[in-house]
Amino acid sequence: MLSGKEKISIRQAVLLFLTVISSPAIRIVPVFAAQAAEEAAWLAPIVAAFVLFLIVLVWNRIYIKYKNDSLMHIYSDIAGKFTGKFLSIIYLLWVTLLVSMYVRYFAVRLVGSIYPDTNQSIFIISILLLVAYVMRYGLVTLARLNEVVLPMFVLTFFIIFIILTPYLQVKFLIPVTYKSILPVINAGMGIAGILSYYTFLFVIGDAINNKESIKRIGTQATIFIMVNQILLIVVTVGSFSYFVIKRSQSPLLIAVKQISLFNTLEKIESVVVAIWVFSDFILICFFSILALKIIKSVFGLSDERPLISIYMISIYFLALYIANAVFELERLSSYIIIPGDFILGFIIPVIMLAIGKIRKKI
Amino acid sequence: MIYLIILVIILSFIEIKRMEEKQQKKEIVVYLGLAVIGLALGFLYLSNPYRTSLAQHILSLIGQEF
Repeated sequence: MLSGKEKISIRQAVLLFLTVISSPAIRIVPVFAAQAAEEAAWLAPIVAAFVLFLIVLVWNRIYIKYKNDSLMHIYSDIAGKFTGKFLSIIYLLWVTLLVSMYVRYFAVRLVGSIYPDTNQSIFIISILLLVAYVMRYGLVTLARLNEVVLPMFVLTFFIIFIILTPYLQVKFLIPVTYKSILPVINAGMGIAGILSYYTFLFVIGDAINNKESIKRIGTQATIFIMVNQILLIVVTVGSFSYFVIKRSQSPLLIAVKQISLFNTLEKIESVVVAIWVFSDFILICFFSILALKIIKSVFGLSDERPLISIYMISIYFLALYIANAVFELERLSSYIIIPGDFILGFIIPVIMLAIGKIRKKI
Repeated sequence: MIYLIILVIILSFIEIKRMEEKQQKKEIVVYLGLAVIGLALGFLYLSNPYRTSLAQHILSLIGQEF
């Protein structure tokens, strides 16, 4: 069992979750919502928040019984050792795919936004070296770093929203009719794929304290995310219309690029890039920690830290091999990653809860 | 390619020495497994960086061709 010093609180874990989803959310949420729900895109986060709330309830129910266990242990106990190990390996492969994809997105984004004509390998090596260094200090350090920096970025985002308000045009956000219901649900389910990362928090469930607050803190996070994502869609779709946003790669970046305040405050897109870089760093660190925790659990290791460097080498080549162009990454996200996240983050925990109930384990 | 092999050998030497001191035998086996995977991925990528990507392979499984 882990000592108190090696554990984080559920509040810190949920703050990590907020940072982890912010990078994919900035990239995917406006585009996905605009593609599926057009003018009614800004309603899609309500559906996604409902799904997240269900995930929170599922984990709240599971952790009434399993107070100090990780997701891998819970699955093994509910579904049997073989199925538990099999699911753990699926989660390991998936998390490794996610790490390599987000590492590549990180490099692509920097090259595409502020460092054109630069070799992507430079950014990939830089982030992996930094991640490997921070991972030596463990989850607690990462959670504390995130706790300090996240509020500053949240404040920055709200300031950006206020500055962008004069550029908004209500005509881009209406009409919303009963015909919007199905497209909004469709868009919401896509966004829910990202929010399903909430489940991945419990890979380190044994390192999270006071889980009796899962429901309360999870509900607060759900409302926060819903408001945040609605604002994100309003500033992007409301500035340029769904028609432009659904074809763009970095909608928030192009929205921020138009900011000009009395010809003095300009070029503040670098702030958005800074938020992205920080979010990507936390995300890559977090998923790498998860991958090594799963390896530790599957092979029954006493320490996973010696594996950090060699795992990072594998991730470097996987990040380069995963796609030849940004379009491949985007298609991989839309057709494979989002549905896969939804299955591993929502459907499997629900199935486990049902099996647990039937077998009277929960 | 040769630089990759040298890097993996140096890293493996340092880490395995530390693990041996702590008598972490299982960790050494898993480390070697990961080293083989890392080398295999490295050979796969470096032998032809423009080969069909993993995304293309996965997408072709669900009928999404480029």
